[in-house]
Amino acid sequence: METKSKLLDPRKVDLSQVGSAIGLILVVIVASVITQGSFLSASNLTNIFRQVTIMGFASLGMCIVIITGNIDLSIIGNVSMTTVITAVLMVKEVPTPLIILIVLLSGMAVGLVNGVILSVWKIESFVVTMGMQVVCFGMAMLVSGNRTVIVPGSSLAKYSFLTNLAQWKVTVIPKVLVFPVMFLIMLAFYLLFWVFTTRTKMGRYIFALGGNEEVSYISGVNVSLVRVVAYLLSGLTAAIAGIFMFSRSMCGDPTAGNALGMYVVAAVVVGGTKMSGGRGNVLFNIMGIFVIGIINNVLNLVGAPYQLQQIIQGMIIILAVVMSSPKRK
Amino acid sequence: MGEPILEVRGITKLFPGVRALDKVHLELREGEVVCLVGENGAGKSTLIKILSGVYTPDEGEIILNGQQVHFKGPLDAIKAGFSVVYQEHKLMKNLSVAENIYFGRFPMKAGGFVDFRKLNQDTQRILDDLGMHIKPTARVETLNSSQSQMVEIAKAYSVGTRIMILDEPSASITDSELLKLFEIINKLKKQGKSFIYISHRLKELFEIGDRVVVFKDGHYVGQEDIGNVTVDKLVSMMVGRDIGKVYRPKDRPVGQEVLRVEGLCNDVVTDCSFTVHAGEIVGFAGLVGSGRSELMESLFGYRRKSAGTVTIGGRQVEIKKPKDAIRSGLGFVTEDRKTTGLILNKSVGFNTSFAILDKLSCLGFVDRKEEAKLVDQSIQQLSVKTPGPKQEAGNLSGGNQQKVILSKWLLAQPQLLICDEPTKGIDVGTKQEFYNILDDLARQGKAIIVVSSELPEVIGLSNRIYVMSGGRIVKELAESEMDEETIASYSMKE
Repeated sequence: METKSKLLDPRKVDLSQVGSAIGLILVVIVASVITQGSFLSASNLTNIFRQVTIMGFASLGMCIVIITGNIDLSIIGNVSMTTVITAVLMVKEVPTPLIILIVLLSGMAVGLVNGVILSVWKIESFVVTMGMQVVCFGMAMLVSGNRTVIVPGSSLAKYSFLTNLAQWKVTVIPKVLVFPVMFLIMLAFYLLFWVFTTRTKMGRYIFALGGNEEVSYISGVNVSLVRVVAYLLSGLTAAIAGIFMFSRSMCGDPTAGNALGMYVVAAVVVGGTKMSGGRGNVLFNIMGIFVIGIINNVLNLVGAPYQLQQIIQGMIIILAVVMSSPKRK
Repeated sequence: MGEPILEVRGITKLFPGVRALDKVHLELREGEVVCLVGENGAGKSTLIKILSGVYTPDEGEIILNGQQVHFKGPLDAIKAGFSVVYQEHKLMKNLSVAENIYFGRFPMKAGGFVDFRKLNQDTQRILDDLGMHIKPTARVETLNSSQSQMVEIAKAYSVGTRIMILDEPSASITDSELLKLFEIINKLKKQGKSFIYISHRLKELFEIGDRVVVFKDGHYVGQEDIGNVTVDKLVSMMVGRDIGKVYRPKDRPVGQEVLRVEGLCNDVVTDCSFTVHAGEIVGFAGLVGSGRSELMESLFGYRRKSAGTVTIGGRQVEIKKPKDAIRSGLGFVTEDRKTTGLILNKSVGFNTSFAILDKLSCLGFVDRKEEAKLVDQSIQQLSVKTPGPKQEAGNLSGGNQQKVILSKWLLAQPQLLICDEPTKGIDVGTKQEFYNILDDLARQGKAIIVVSSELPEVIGLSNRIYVMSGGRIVKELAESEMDEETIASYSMKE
């Protein structure tokens, strides 16, 4: 009988997705009030756009993996590793296109290993990618010689593209709305991934894998391939996040990814994507990264101590998951 | 017959936009089995949920032993002496039979330790009382469907339940297991226990029921003593019309051989050989666990086979995974809608086109216009009741979910369609629709395999029947040799 009542309301809006929109609006209002408007200043907004970009890339890949019903904790380590690799290659003065290629490939290699292990053995993705996270941190240490890689000024000067990547801006309305180019690149990637997940065959299979793996397999889908693709994409976006991470800080910090921490997962969940898999929308992720990014930003603006920031962010992660989960009966 | 122990008077239950139950009533006397029948959506499940304290009614009263009762939750219902044995068993699989039966009421020793010896002895006594041959220490996950059901009954018995509600108890057990269930019910009847028995398999009601109550669309239609009704009468009460002959004549023109399987073996079946021709419906009968589903799974590449050859349309094919099977022109409507049939949290359209995305895509992009067209056609063709293709598949009723699975495979245009228990848990009206669809498909020249535990169904549909037992095909029956007794006797031959 319940089925009938649901039938009458076919397009019932998904509460968690409306929830993320409402959450974002609330966060913006509260942020504006608490900071007495300084939150809305052009320079701060531009700063936020820049801050959310790295998290945006990292959580884009996470979103794809979560839709397949898995998780990828290696992203955090992967960002550290690729940041350091970028810096080391610059010290060695490798040409820019080659640096980008090598970094993207090493990020994807991490995804490939995750995907292959999870396709061959039936293990919780949580465990495997947690292990890979540690491996990536280790690699970052190894490549960097266990210290932050500083690129000498003489070398930096040869890389105008990579060093300016985080600096370029596009002014839409002077002194009101200024977009960093890196943010726009991120938006473009989101659009690309949205088209990919909603319009292509592989995109369908990614949702289907999270919805029901057995049905996918019985319907002729190469589920291993789908899983590997999801992890490859996650590795790719982690590597892009790594390049931007370098471009923002101009050094190769082997612990750079730590700052992302669980925010990457939180942004996805706040964006309304279900941890159980099969449901979600890549574009909604953008709301998720803004909610997390704005809260971070405001806590910084009002000078909240680091410990308090941690506590609040942790609570928000739990709250987000709570809101998107059914109650136990 | 004893006093009325339970009276349900004028119960109404509203859901947003739907009157799930409208002033229904029901009476149950001590030591009586009342059968509750009706199509899917008639309100049977809603009534069960009210009687078991899951829902509260909007109107009406429940009178137990002359006193009105209000259930605030399932616990109240259990205390009042109600137990429900659901279609999908609610036992803890990783625990033993005894632990399940006495869960929450373990006999204790000093110091807070469970007295396992007493636990197992008490359980053994209950199982002996009921004539069940199950070991108290067996883990529930090692039991089959019928045994788990018995454990649930034993559990209800042990808490002193007076009214047991059996929801589709025969859906996943074989005929001989059903007889055993009836024995137990009869034993409990003599002790004054009462039963509400719900089933889509009308024939069995005549063996176990005392009275039958019919619901339709949330309304009470009527009740009869079981001696005064026939299956046809019941069906017309349920659907509100005569559905005429359930099965069509089998005068289908049979064409060339489509499938030949020789010597197929896997972990369950041994040396199975059979053929299917175009335009033919071939039935596979046998007890649950006789290896029918496992044979089909290996044929479709879903279960590893250890030996045997498969020839399709005269060419030997190597099927290692479902993808190979689909390429060779096979389709597989699996037994379990929820685990292997549908992606429940995706839409009807998503599920319908899911097996043909390869054909629908160009450079990896899905042709969504063509897709929408095909999906709409499928919904119309099989008259799937859904508000639209965007509806989540999990929200449809069982019969409509089954139609979505069928249309998914039909779109793939297989030469041979395997249907494993295609009408399990589906109401009479929809069942007949399915029979007609399968007949139409065969007449269009498709080869069809139907695996079914319902003997009238296999007999009514099939041109030929293979009977399986103990992992082997023990007998092939031609149309003239099919009757329930023959099939039953071969299925029980080890």
